[in-house]
Amino acid sequence: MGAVGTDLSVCKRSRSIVKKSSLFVVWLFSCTAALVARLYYVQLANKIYRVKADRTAVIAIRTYPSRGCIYDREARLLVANRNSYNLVVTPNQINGVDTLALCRILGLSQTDFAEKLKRCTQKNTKYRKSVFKRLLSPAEVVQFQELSYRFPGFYLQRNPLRTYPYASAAHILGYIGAVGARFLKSHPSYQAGENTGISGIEKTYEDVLRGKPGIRFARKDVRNRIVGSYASGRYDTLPQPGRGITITIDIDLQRYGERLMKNKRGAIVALEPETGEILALVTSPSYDPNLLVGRKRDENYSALLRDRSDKPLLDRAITGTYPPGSTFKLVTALIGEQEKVLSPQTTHTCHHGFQAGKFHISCHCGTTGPIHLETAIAVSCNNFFAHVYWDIIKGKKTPAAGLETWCAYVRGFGFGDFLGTDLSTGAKGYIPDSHFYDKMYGRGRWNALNTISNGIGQGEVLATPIQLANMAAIIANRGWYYPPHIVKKTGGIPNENPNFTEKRQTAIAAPYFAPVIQGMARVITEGSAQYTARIPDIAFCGKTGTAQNPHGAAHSIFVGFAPKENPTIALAVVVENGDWGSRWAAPIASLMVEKYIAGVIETPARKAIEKHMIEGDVSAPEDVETHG
Amino acid sequence: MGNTSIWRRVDGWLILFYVFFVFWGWLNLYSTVSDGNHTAFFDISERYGKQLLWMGLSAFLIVAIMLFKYIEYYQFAGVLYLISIALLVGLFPFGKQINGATSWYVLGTLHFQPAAFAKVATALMLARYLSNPLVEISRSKTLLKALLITGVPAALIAAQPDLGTALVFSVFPLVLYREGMPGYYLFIGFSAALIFVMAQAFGVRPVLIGLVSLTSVFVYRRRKSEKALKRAVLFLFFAVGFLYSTDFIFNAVLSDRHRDRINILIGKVAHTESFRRGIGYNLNQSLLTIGSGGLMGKGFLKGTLTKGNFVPAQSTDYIFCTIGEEWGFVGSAGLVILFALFIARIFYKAERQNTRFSRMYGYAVGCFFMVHLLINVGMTLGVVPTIGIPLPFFSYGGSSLWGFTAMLFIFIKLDAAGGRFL
Repeated sequence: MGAVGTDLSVCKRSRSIVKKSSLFVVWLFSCTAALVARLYYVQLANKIYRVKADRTAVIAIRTYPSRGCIYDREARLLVANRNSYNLVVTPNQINGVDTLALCRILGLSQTDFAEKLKRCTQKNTKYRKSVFKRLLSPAEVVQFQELSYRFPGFYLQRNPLRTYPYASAAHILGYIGAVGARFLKSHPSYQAGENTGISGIEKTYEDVLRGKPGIRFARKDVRNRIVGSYASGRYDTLPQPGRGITITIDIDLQRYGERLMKNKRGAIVALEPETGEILALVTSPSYDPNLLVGRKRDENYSALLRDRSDKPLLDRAITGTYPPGSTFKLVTALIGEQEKVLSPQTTHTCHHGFQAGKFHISCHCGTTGPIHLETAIAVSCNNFFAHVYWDIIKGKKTPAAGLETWCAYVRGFGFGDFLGTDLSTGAKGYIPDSHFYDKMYGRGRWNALNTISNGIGQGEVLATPIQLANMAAIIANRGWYYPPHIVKKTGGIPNENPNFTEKRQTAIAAPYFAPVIQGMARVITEGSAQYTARIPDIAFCGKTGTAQNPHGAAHSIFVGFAPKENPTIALAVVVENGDWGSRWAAPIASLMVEKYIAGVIETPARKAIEKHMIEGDVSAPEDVETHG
Repeated sequence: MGNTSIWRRVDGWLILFYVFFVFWGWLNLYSTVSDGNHTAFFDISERYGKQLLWMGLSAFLIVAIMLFKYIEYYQFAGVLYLISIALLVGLFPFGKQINGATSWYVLGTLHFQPAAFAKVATALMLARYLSNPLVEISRSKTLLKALLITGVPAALIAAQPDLGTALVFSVFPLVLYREGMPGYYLFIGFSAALIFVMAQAFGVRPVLIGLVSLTSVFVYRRRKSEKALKRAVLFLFFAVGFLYSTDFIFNAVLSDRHRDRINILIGKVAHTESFRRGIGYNLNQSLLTIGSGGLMGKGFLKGTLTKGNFVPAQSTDYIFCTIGEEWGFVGSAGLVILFALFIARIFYKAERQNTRFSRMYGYAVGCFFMVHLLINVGMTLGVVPTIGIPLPFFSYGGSSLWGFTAMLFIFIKLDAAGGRFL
């Protein structure tokens, strides 16, 4: 084997060989330099790969806070959260699943099951979870949990829902729903699949109730599965739970109002005059807010929406506009006093109505001889207040100037405009001014008589129940009010919105209220509402209204407050097509007041009225012979 | 001569590089494969656990290699070569087709790739053949025999088809060049490859213009030499002929897959969204992963794309992505440089062998590592067409690890024996 070692060629050509061997090293290092240069370009010279990589492998996941609860003024829970569950599936993990058992629990056929699974896979691939069934019933949840070991790849996912323990105050509380495409465009802080308040408190106080979503950064894999946290959660933020809201509603009173308004269309608005807080805001017909939650939500919602005759989704208490009828005579009286065309000593004599030339308004007050203001209120004399209104307008140079004066006063009561409430919706009502009549009759071609119906709450005047309740509160306060509002505390902090803490003064001086209030007291004790609205031991003051309207029988309206001294509640009741004020609205108002102040309805006579109100039928012929 | 002296004479640097690469490689594999749910390092059901087993068994392989005598490698080179040819041939009836290539013997869970072994055997065989002093390397008969020795296994591997591994056999002309093969063979091969790629990238006409002008410059500078003129004309004749056949080769000989890879490399395919999702998916993901590493990397076990399995075949051919992402420029450039130093050390040691057998073998080993490094890293960085060959010591796989370990340690053994086999 000696020949192997003797390698002559090495010696012979050593020079060129040395050159060649260094050539190998030159190749090696030039190629290495090229790779390092390329690495420099890819890793250091530009940031595009880093950005793209994060976009590829890191996903920001919203973590949603629990929504704030809503309480009534006595801290009773009105809106809470309850957990429901969605059944979620990851199709590629369901090997060995007991299909039969699962179908039995969910009430599905085998083919439905396969079909659903196929749809899940098509939507989200078989590697990602999809919702297999939304909002399982409690029975389904329990049965699934018992056997969950038999269902690999299936699991329950929490899905918080709203719940309403009192099943009441649906319009006040409102409801929530998934955000839509248009909403998302204008609200970039929301994401698809999130909920937002759609009406009521849920809408107006969305920011408070919603809380702040947290963000969790997670790493995902090539199949979009979450594989772990990103940077050990260094950039994650925790969700801030939504804050609770205490509303001014007394849920007992609210529910009582809803009971009284059963089978009627209309509204009750009760305020605390001293603060402007809304004690009850009843609209009827209403619905159980729990209907708009959960699996049957869409079905229920369209049923409510389709009910064109009852319109249960309409909040009549704040968006219904009615002619105020005789209740408006109170405003006319106050303006007359302030304008010095009326005093407690002023008398007018009613001859079954108001007569000015050929112009006539009939009256059924039944008085003979001259009557004073108090009596006029008690018996609701059309003639008396038509005269007062006429005197107000006549006191100015032109009818237009007179009407503008009157308008300014009326607007001071909060009529003709949104009241500055914190409710999600509302209506302005309507107070006609001189421009309106200029248009209607032509400039200078109308006079006080053309507008005289306004003085008795008919004509063109329209008001919402909450405006009427506010009027009652103004009279109870003798001249001022806080705009009605519904939120008492947010997150435990009292509502200090200057809108609701600064007194609004009307242009009527306090002393002028005394005769009006006296008249309102007499409405109950001896006047138009004496048989239906008198409450034992409580000095109730009020005014009936019978509002003629183009939609059938007159509306039954009542405004009032109690007690007469230091009133704690002021309210307005409207019962659509209730014929006349003392038939429905007055007794319902009196029951509300009694319930709020006394707590219970005790005497048999009052209980009978209560029963009649709850069970009564608006369209039935009346047995009580008193008109308002 | 006892074993102790052999162990004392082994090259410490090469051992150090080897140990470093293997362990760093294993850490990367662990990071690439583990999903955080398995905490045990030695879990045979996971790739990193298996690799740990192969690493342990490599120790036995190394000891076995060191126990053989220098002379036995020389003597048994032919036998080893024939065994490897037989194993390659045996693949056709007995091998298992994986990913479209019949490259593997499969016994239960064990996979064995004879090509890894064939590289070592072919290198030994060629070294043995040329170490015969009666063989004159510049003779074309010798070169033809050398071509046969290296070409047979390469052709068998190409037929599997595993063009990537077959391509690696092109290191042998380099080795022959070192041993005295005339340089124009390399020149021809290199020119052919360049013309081919250029023709595909820029079209035939610009390359033709380039060829003619380059040859003219050459002729003008050597205008006194008739020989140069002859050579130039000959070159131009064949070059142009080849140039006009490149389209035919590209379209008829190569398959779609290979055409795609070349098209991606030369930028013929626009980097559109469909490109990123389709044929360029691997490259795009690989670049994202490496590029996102930045200077210092995201840290061990913290690679977001690695953990998300965004890179296909990341534990095998694309293992460099893990280094790029988790160790950043410092780690990946560091690895490339360390690997280059390792290869340079092999060349350095090879050059100092006092027998042609061990020197040739050493050069072959160095060239194998060099080609694997350049192609593998170049592929992940998009500077070389996608050719699926492993990064030695880093890519997952027992055959690969054992093949490279055997390749390296046979050289260490030959070097340590230092021709004192007599």
